[in-house]
Amino acid sequence: MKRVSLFLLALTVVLPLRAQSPWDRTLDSALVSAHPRERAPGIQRIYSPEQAALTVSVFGEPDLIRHISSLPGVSQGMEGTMGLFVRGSDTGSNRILFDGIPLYSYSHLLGMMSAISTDIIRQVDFQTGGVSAQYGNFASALINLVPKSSLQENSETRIALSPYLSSAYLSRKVSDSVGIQGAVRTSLIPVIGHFALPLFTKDYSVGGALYDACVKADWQASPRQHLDLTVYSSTDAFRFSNQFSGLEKTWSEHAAKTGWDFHASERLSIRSRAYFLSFISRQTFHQSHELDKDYSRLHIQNTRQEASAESIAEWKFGNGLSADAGLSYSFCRFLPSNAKIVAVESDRKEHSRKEDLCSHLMSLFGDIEFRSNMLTAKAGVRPTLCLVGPSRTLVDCDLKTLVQVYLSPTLAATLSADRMVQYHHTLEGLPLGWSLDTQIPASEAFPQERTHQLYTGLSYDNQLGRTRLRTSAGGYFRKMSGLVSYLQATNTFLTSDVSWDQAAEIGQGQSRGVECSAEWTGPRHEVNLSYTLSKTDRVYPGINEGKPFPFKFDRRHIFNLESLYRVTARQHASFSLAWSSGNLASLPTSVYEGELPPYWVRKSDSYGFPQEVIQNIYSRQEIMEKNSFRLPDYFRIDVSYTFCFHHKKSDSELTLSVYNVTNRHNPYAIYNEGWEWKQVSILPILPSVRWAIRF
Amino acid sequence: MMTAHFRLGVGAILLLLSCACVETIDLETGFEQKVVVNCILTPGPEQSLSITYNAPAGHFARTYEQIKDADARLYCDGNEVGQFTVNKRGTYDLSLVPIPGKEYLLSVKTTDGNTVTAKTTFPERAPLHYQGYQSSYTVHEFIQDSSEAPYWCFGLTMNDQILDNPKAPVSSKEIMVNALGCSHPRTDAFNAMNEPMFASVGLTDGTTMAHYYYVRIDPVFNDASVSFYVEAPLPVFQSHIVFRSVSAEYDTYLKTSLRKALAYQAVPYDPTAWFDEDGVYSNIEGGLGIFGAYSDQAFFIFPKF
Repeated sequence: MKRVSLFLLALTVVLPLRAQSPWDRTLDSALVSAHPRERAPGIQRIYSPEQAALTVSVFGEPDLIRHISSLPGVSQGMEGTMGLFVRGSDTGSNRILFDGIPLYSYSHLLGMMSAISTDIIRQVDFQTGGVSAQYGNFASALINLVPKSSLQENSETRIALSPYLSSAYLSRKVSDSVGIQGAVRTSLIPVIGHFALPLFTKDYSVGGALYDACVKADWQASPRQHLDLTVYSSTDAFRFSNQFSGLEKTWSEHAAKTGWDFHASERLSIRSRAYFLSFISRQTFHQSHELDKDYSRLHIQNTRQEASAESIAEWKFGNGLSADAGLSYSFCRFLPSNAKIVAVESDRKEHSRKEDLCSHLMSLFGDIEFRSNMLTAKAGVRPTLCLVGPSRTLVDCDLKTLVQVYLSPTLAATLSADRMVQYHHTLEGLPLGWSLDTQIPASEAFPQERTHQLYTGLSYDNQLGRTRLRTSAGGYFRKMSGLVSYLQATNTFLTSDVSWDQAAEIGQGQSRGVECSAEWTGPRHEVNLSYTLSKTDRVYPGINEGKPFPFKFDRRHIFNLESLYRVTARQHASFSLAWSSGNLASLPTSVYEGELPPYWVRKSDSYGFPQEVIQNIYSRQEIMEKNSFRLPDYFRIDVSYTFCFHHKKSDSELTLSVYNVTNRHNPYAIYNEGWEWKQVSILPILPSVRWAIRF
Repeated sequence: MMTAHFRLGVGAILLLLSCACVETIDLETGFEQKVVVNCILTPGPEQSLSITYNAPAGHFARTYEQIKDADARLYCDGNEVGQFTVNKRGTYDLSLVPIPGKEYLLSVKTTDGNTVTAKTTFPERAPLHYQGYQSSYTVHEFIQDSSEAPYWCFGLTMNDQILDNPKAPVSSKEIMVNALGCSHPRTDAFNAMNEPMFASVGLTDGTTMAHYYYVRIDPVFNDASVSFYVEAPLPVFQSHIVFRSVSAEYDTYLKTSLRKALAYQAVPYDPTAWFDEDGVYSNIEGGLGIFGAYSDQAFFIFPKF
């Protein structure tokens, strides 16, 4: 261990963090899901914020999206990030919805925590197959964050304060028919960084801001009509500068959505909704020749603006037969890597590169479903017409099928086949498991992404006395096309590549695997196990000389264990274990003489390049086959113990937890320096203390 | 430099957010000794070839173990056109003037039984015409007819010495300028600096993105001519702008080499370097290195009347 960030270690000792709440201790499986046959085990999972809290995050905050990394079929990216590689697909192929609004910026602090408050969420639906045709424009998994209704919840106020994350939640019934709820979170980490950095260096300064906020209003206009309005906003902003130059990076998403539900009769319902969102990622570089005088300023901005409207009619015909049909329209405007250079501030001379790409998506969709005691069968179709720019038309179709046969009251077999189509790309290639900021529409050069998937499995669900046991086991096969990747990962670290079209390539992928899970709940315990055995490959014409290679996050084995035990009515203990095969890398095997660039020995200035640049000018490195080296296994154990206190006017909870209790140095990256191999590890043993209160 | 500082900023953020630990580990990535061949065909009349062995990962050096007794021959259209001979420096020489448009095959056999081969096509020169400079003489205008070969551009200047012959060739005293920009629509941004030309010296003329040392320009396949300009600190009567047409293999080698080197700009603070997994292109079958070709056009900077 060579370096430790002391200020971070100090923070972990004194933090009151909001985590599990004493009032939510009752882990009732009925609270988590509806009738068990309304979901297909193995491909459709529903969990609550309380269940998500079983996954210990670095900051101690229950994280609804990070919990998905503990589910079968999900390979996490690099530690500390929020890459979710579901059955070998890219993170950008997932569709994350909050109350029907797509979230393209769904994490804070470069992936350390998700950008949605758990207080406003009722449940999360995670589906990897057999998804209703109502949902489209994604090629991997659907993650549907379903909010609470302000009309159904008791009035509530929650406040939590900590240096990592402070939050407030309010839910009120304004009248019998109108309710409103709001949640806001912010972090003091940028402020802490601003005051802590001078302890390490006087040459640089850092600052910024971080928040997410959501307001939702519900109005039961009549017994048959319900209207709702949701507004969401999330921003991360960071600033880093020295005396003569600086960087500002901001990413944000702002959205508004309105919905109308009409129950025409017991058999017919109509739902309509419309939303607008704006997702922006912006970097500004500025350089001064003199103090306080900007001589150049460069802005690079990625923008996605989206407006959508859709309407769905749902029929229940009786005798187990139901159907839905609808149409949707989305207008998407992409401005990828637009750059604007201001040469001198006083002169205001500008040089701009503007790219404005628009797409129109028009979809019809329909599902039909039959349920009986012996069988559930669903089929859905979603043809889509996509107009890109003035002259390009794409026509494609999603197909979804799901069959569940109940072999006995406790045993079911599932078969699903899906064809999923996504009409935009989030550029892959960065090895950090982030979903890159640059999004582009499908086009002639980069056609739509398609996934063909087959899944089959068995599931068991039985109440055994006071305990319930649910298990599932199944296998899948996926074939992916239209995957877009950067040719070189290192140039995309800041997503500042204004020539993304020169640097990206389109390819294909294939993934197959076996997934197993078990959930065992009882009056005093809950245990969740998941295991995945899988293999995923990629092939791109311009990468690895066009030969297939393993996907970077092709973790052969993934095992997760999460458990909770209620020691007494007011104390409980949690234990979780995560073990997976290491991710893959391409390491150098030799060095050799290089051919110098033209006139290199006769250049006028070396820019003060470090030795490593000069080494790579005079020499070349031979790199092994793409992703042929597997890093050591990832292994982590987290433990926590919680004390609950009931006061006259409030409830509080004290939690002691340790992240990575074995202090395993899980490799983040391996590189060669000098004649030695070095391993980088982040997030060693991290103890924390949390105190939460509700009144 | 701009990019290094900004990456340093993000690197500092990452380090602040984490308890990053770096430790030395035992690792074996499977070193295999291979023959390394470097040969770039020039317009002539002398061609040079270097044959060495590679070394284990991390063992960077300015010179590597030379192979001085190899049999190296050059072929064109199936016929041998020359055999390289070793010189006192341990490299190999051949007197040859390559023919534009012809494909050449290089074959090297070592005494320990290794045989490596490579092919390249000697490029035609890009059809470029110098139109003169603007009053500031930092902006130089060119017209290019269609070209199927990529080419690289760089500037050479002597600063204090004046050349009075408009047809003066590149002098041995000229040095390469450290940055230039280009308005050509096919300019490659892989080595762009994310700041406009001349920003660091506070001038107001820069309207193109500055690039480190070179500008690479992709081929233009239509029949229309392209007008563009090069921005660089190249005083009149003292400078040349050089356009180097390169074979496809040499082009890829140059780009991948420079791109990889520039990834280490902000070491040790820049976390980008931790994730560098990119190799450098090689067209040597059975070995490592590069066999390529180039042809230069040097435009002397002087007033056009």
